[in-house]
Amino acid sequence: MNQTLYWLHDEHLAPPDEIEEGDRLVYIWDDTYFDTQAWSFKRLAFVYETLCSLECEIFQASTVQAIDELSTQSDISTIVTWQAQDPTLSHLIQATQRRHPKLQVRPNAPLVDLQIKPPVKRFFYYWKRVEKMLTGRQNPRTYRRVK
Amino acid sequence: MRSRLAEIDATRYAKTRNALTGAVTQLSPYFRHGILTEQDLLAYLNQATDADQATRLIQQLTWRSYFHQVHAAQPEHIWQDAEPYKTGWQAHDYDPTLPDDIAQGQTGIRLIDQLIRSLLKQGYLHNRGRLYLAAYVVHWRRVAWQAGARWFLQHLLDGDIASNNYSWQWVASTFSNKPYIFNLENARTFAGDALDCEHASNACFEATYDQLQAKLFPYQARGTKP
Ligand SMILES: Cc1cc2nc3c(=O)[nH]c(=O)nc-3n(C[C@H](O)[C@H](O)[C@H](O)COP(=O)(O)OP(=O)(O)OC[C@H]3O[C@@H](n4cnc5c(N)ncnc54)[C@H](O)[C@@H]3O)c2cc1C
Repeated sequence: MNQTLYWLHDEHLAPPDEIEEGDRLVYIWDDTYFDTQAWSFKRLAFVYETLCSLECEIFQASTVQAIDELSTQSDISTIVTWQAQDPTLSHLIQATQRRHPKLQVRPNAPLVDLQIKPPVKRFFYYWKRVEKMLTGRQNPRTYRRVK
Repeated sequence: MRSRLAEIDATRYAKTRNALTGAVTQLSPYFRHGILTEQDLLAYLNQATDADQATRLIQQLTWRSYFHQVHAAQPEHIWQDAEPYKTGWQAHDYDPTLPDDIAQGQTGIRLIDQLIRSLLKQGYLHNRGRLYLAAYVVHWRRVAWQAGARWFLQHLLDGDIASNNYSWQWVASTFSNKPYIFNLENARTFAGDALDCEHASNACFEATYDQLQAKLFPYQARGTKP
């Protein structure tokens, strides 16, 4: 009873570094979710091909029902997923977490914390502040908008 | 993924990335799906490339991070105009639905139809191609950016709501100080052989920026349409 189930979603199609033998990588192919997103066949094929290369388990099911069922399996102690920025996906994760408070939803670390708060400023305001941290120097030639 | 990273030529990127045939990475679908992280690329550039050469690429990557953090700071605003249009037109002057000829790539304007075909067939467009297409949709056809953004999200393999919607708003001028437009001269400079710029059907772009400005935004000088 100490397997971790990693619930991959379309913003996180990669195994975590800390995955151990016996842990499970699972993707839930939720037709209702994809209907809402209305993605082209090409987009769906990209997701599917990536999943095949990961060799993860794919369940075609409603997300909530699939997590309900997986969470009752005796050898699974923890279910882990990652935050999503897409509102539809994010709501789905939150709805699942409400039913399964033990679901761990991990944050995604930003490249650099720009400390953005409303009212939001333009890109170059932040770029000038983080440029040195990211590139080691300041280059005023990078302060212009594309023509 | 390491082999994809090894193909990056940061020096050529800095010099050519603005051209449709330039040495861009085409890594965006991998970032979108978490197959590669921004940190992976930054770490690779730090160890494999001269910092000076990598600046442009790191800056572009920071645009992605910026859009994501803007979205995280105000997630409920993702489909709303961040600011009023600065085109002289008001939000209700823009068509909320995407016309069929655009959706099908049958506008009759050669360079626009070529870009739409790439979007539908490859699920990818160079940044400049996206700028041209978005500018055409919003400014030449006066369609609301939301309709165009929804369409891009259906087809782009890297379709990412934050980068996409805020980029559309940047073109529209609801998240920038002025609307983005282009003319045929600009397309000739940056498209190379990638687009058939000389076709007669592209005539609506054959003008100076002042002429286009006057034609597309006749009320801009006054602020808004009377
Ligand atoms: C109207 C419009 C819609 C767009 N929609 C999306 C979208 O849905 N998803 C998306 O990832 N990008 C979007 N972009 C931004 C940009 O066009 C793409 O990120 C870029 O073209 C991807 O190609 P690349 O990987 O070869 O980029 P490269 O130039 O090689 O850049 C490397 C990486 O930096 C990031 N990046 C580069 N330029 C930008 C930019 N201007 N804004 C944000 N991130 C950037 C991308 O993650 C990219 O993979 C859009 C731009 C416009 C004008």
